[in-house]
Amino acid sequence: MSTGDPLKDIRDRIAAAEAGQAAKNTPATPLADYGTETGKGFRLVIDFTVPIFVGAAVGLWIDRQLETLPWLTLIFILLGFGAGIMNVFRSAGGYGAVGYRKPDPSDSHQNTPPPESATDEDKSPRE
Amino acid sequence: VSSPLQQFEIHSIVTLPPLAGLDVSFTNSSLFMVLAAVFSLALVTLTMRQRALIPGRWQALAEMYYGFIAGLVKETATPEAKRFFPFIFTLFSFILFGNLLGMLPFSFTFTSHIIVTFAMAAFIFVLVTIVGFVRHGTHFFSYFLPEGTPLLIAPLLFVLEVFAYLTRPFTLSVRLFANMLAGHVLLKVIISFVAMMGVAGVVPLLATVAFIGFEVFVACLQAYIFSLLTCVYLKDAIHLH
Repeated sequence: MSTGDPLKDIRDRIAAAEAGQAAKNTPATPLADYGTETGKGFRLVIDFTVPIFVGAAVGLWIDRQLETLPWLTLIFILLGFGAGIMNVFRSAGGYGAVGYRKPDPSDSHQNTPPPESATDEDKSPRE
Repeated sequence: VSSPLQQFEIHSIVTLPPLAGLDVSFTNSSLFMVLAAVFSLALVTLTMRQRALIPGRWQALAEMYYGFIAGLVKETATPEAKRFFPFIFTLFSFILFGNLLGMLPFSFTFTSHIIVTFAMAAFIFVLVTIVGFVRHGTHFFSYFLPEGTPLLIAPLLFVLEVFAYLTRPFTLSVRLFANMLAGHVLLKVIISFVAMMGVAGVVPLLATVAFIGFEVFVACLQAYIFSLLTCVYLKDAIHLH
């Protein structure tokens, strides 16, 4: 059976077990990975647009109360825009809640290697 | 041809007198919420009546269902969030059965009403915020400005983080609501083509068959994603990233 290396079989099994353990330790699959391609796109669209509409609604309401139209509406739409971008950034990267944070070695959820989808160019803005 | 939005109309089944100025009639929406609750209860109680050591088919189904959510809570929200398992389990069952019952002909999909999904999302938002403050006190605010943020952009990022946090109930509720609404409207529109196109209506008819399968998948997936996001939010509140 095991012709060449008698330790090869056990080595393979250890490697397989370690790979399984590593897979368990990696952070949960990024949310953007669930569902069909259309579903993923749809989700990102909602993540991006909803804060803008919320910002517009909140800004308009405060503006009406203070009679400062259109200034707060504009500011809140921009805020919503920023929040939407952060939402998309987060869902797409799948990294915890904040993407720009440096990985903290003491936190077991952060120091595991990123999933294979994370390439160098999407790592750089986090630094 | 009836409007594709007709299926979302709410009409009362048992009209009750207004309570504190609010219409509290028992509507078709209420009926399907009760049905969703009854079905989820039935799934976990009737199937477990035998409590066999070697589970039968129904018991195995209930055990897998339970284990699936338990795994979701343990892996996504970390084991410390286990005390929230009953909540997540209830939430998932309610949404799942709400979505799936909505796939039956002549039924009503209560998850396609934003007020329903928003009520759930707002409850989750309040719960998660309370959990965060109870566990971390004022240190919870560090959630909005983690270490490693460059000082120059810190004020801007703090404001954006707070805003993104405050819009969570909206994104969470719109995600479920829009998926269910869009799916049901599209289904209705395609089905109305069948009648309009005569013999050539076979094409949209076949499309409908495929689309209904897809909608069942979406119904399960959206229930899962809603619960998954609740777990992610709980994890954030407990661990602050």
